[in-house]
Amino acid sequence: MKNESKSIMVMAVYAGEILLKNGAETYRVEDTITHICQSANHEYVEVFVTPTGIFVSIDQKGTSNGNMMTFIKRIKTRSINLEKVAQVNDLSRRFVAGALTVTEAMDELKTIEKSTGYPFWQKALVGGLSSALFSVLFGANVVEFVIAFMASVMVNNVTSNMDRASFPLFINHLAGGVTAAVVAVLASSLIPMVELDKVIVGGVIVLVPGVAVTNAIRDSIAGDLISGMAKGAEALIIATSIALGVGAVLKVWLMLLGGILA
Amino acid sequence: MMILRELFIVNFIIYGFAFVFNAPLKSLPKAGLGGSVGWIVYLLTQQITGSVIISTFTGTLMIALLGDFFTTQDRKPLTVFIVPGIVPFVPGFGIYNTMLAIVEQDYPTAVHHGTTTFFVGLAIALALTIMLSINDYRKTKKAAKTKGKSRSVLTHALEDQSESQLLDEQDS
Repeated sequence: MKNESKSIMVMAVYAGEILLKNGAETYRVEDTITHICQSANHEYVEVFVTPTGIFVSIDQKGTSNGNMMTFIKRIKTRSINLEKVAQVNDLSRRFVAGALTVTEAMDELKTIEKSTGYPFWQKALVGGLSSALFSVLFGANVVEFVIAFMASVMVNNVTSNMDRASFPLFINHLAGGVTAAVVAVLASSLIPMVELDKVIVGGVIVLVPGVAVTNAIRDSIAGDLISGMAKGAEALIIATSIALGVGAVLKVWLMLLGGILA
Repeated sequence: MMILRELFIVNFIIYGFAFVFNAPLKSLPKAGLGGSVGWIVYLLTQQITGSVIISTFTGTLMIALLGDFFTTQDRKPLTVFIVPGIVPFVPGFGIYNTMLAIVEQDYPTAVHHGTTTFFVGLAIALALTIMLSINDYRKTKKAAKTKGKSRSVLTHALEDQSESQLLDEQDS
């Protein structure tokens, strides 16, 4: 009985972990864990999810069936992968409906976690095009479009490589901001029709924490105050690091060249 | 003509970001459609009211409404449709500009960008929350009608509680 409880709990928390790491909302993670545990005859489930950790306690009805169990899971990295969120959501549905055993679900979760999604070069290319189009929305011309595209692809490359080498968030985005600003500065000094701002806009749009700001406010409104504050802090840190990177490069450029070539 | 061009650009941006966020391939067209309709609503509202915040609110409301429709159709979580859809509205540059202005010690500009960022973010979050809450309410009401049971929460481990409804609250 005890082992069964344990394996269900481990499975539920694993599902929650994948959801949380890939950008699911706080309430979805809490709901998924609750539903999985309750469907496996654990009537009492209490889940507390923050962006940096999952805390779960489960118990069965009656006093004779063993002890209450608690599981704490630390989450250190977060990104967005909607495919995985959809897959885990589907899996938890099937598990709750009784179509899967715990071991089957566990195996499937492992395959889901290992899947990498679209190849990196495709993502960099499509992301670059979107970012460059963003700078067109801000009024960029064709040359700026091309350079913004290159800047965005380079920024993507730099940050994801550093991500893989597990540098902290702040350093990654700092490097991303520096890359975008260096490309913009070089391009605008070499080609007279290129404006600095528009290339930087295109370059950093993939890094900028817009969705994070929205999710932070959303969680706070919904009453998940700790999640909201944590996400807000993360967004602020990311924005600060990008701005620091860009600002530092612009400052150095101004000091060295006096900005004559702008 | 300008609007058509802008719409095309926004549509592609949504597709692109949906791809970058690894949205399932099948849901891409729907995410793009939802986001584009939201953008049209945004433009129309901006023509009428002239306020970025109000138009962001109505645009997001439209995206959430359509996203909810697609969710029930496809059995995919709502996030898949909403996150790419709100990318053109989302105040990423606002917060970046705020921090850049602070780094450059230009505090009035920082306050200006900061407040706009906050209110645009609030508008998006509010629109999503309103849609989701109405949706939740509708679902729990429907579930209560069909089952006559309510969701149980652990208030005290030894307290007896009714069985929970398991399936109905998972989406959205």
